[in-house]
Amino acid sequence: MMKAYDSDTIFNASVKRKAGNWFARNLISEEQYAAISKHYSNPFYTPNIFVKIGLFIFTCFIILAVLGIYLLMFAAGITGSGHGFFIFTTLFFAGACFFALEFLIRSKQVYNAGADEALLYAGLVSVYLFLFAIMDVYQEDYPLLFSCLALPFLGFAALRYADRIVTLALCFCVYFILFFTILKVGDVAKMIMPFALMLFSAVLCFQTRKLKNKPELYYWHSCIIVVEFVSLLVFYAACNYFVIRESSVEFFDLQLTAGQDIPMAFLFYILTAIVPIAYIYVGMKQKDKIMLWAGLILLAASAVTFKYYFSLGHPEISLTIAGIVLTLIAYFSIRYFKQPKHGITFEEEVDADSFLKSNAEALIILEGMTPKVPNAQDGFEFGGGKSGGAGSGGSY
Amino acid sequence: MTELDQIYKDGHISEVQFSNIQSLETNKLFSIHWELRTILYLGILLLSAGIGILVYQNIDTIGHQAILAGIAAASLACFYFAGKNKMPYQNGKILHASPFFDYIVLLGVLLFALFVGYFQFQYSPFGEHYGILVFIPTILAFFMAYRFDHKGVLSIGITGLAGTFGLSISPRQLIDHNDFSDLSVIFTAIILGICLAAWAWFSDKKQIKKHFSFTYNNFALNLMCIALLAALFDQGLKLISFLALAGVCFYFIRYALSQHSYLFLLLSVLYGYIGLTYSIFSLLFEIDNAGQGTFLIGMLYVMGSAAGVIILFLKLKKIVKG
Repeated sequence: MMKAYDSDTIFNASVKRKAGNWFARNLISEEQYAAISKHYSNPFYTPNIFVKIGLFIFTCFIILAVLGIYLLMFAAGITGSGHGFFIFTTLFFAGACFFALEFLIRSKQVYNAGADEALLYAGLVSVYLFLFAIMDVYQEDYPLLFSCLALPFLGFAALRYADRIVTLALCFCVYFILFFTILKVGDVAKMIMPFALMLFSAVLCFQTRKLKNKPELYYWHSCIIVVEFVSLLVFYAACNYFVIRESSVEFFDLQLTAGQDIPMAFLFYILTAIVPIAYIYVGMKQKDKIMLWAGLILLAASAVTFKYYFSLGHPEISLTIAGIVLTLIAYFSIRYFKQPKHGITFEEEVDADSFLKSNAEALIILEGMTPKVPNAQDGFEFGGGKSGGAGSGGSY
Repeated sequence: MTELDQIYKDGHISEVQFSNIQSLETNKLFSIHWELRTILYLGILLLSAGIGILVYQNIDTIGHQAILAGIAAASLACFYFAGKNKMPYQNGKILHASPFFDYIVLLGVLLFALFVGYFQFQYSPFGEHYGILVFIPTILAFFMAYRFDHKGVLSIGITGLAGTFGLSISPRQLIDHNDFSDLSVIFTAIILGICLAAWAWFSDKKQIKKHFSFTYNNFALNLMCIALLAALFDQGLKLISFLALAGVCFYFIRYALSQHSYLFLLLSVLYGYIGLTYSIFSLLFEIDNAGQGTFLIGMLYVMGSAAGVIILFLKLKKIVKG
């Protein structure tokens, strides 16, 4: 009930992918790779990214056309208040989308195929419209109540379908609830808000980093990464000087006259500068790409923040200097990491995908062969240099 | 249980391999290749933008000759570096020893274009013939692209070639900057597109830089399809435009299937679908202007055609094999 897709099959797909990687690095022989590909079958239909985009777009077309026909047939007769009709329609459509989604997964074995995502999002949008319809917009605490009502639906969808965008929406929903709950506390809220958000994000981040590599949670691996990334971003946003200053004015009616600064400005300046650098450092140290990328993006955000408050009024000089600094950093880092140091290297990772592409022909022939399972005595057999060669498969 | 444990337990790999892979996986090197390349690219982009603005703002104070000489010297320095570190020409892909090689060639071409532009701005040796002005860096870009095997510079060259004929074909300007209500612009775009696609086809046949044909075809497909869609929407020659669009899409769908290139498949299906849908709806409105029946037939058409495209995508593997 928890998982819409068969998690064994997803694990098999991962085995196949990793085996391809090891094959690309000559750690296992071609026969072994062929045997593994055969043994860990993956009946799921997961197409290339462009086919996926196409399937997504055209599934959306179908959904919209069905909605159009439905409205044409039933909405024309409705006069007066269409409120009940609207509530019924959204509920009916949400049900229909999820029904179609389940049917598609069962019968066509789709997984991340574009069509299933389109139905999932359409279903959730219908649920949102349904919640929107049954609630009074002018009610007190409307955003908080709305988020609380949406939470179980998003949580269920994220758990069951392990979709990244739904997980993102779920994260936003949780942070919304946290934010508006703290806001209700009253006057203290503006003092504790940044620290509460930072604390929550830090806990979330540590938990996800612990859970990330657990094999039994492999089904939700991509979702956990989304949560980690969001928690890193929110942690930074909660202590970014610009965000705090602007949100103090927006949400807490802070009146700043010229020359005045927000309370504890110095602390937030320091945090704005230090957090991205800390991310980059920890990311490199613990070999965590997500953290490294978050750090790099946020470093740019910090640079823009400082530029915003301490501008010299010469954007062209800032541009040139930034360009020179970045180029120099990249130049010296590339030279430094050309020979691996501290477990970090500039060398490109051996990519199973590109390797498999250029060797696709050989592999298609191999897949049909009856493989033999080597025993321990066979030990290693390094294949000759099969990589390289100019004629790649020409597929992009 | 990890993937490695699983294949070991199922007896696909030997114990030696198991422990070897395990130790390699735990001590795996952390590659920051693309991160550093991105930073370098951003740096060069910001730097050239900053220098461009600086030059523009200080034209009066620095003096033209000094600026021209500076740009020319920088451009020459880039080409000198490229010439010194070049690999011998070959029709296949070339792997350069220095990771900076591609960036320096790119910078050199950009600076040369800046030089020619500035020269024209100041001394206008070509008068009103802006085509020639664009054509000179274009020739250089094509030469550099083929000599140093640089796809980015090739794109600059193709963009310049289109510019010579008065077309803007960089992705963002393709629709905004061209006046497709002018029939001659449409013809130019179509002819240029045919030439690019033909050259790509010829190069594929003769094995001349086969990996460039993606870039050529990408420009050709977008240029032709947008020009033909514009003709279909605005011009009187509806039937011819529709047939030509169908022909272009057919050619590129076949190309995509033979090359297993899903990007071209998606693009040609999308362009073709837009053209078909537009034609059907305009026919429907011609017959019965905005009645309920028209709307219903239109919706049924969208449903049916979208389902058809989805089935096409799903059956793709079989179609390619068959």
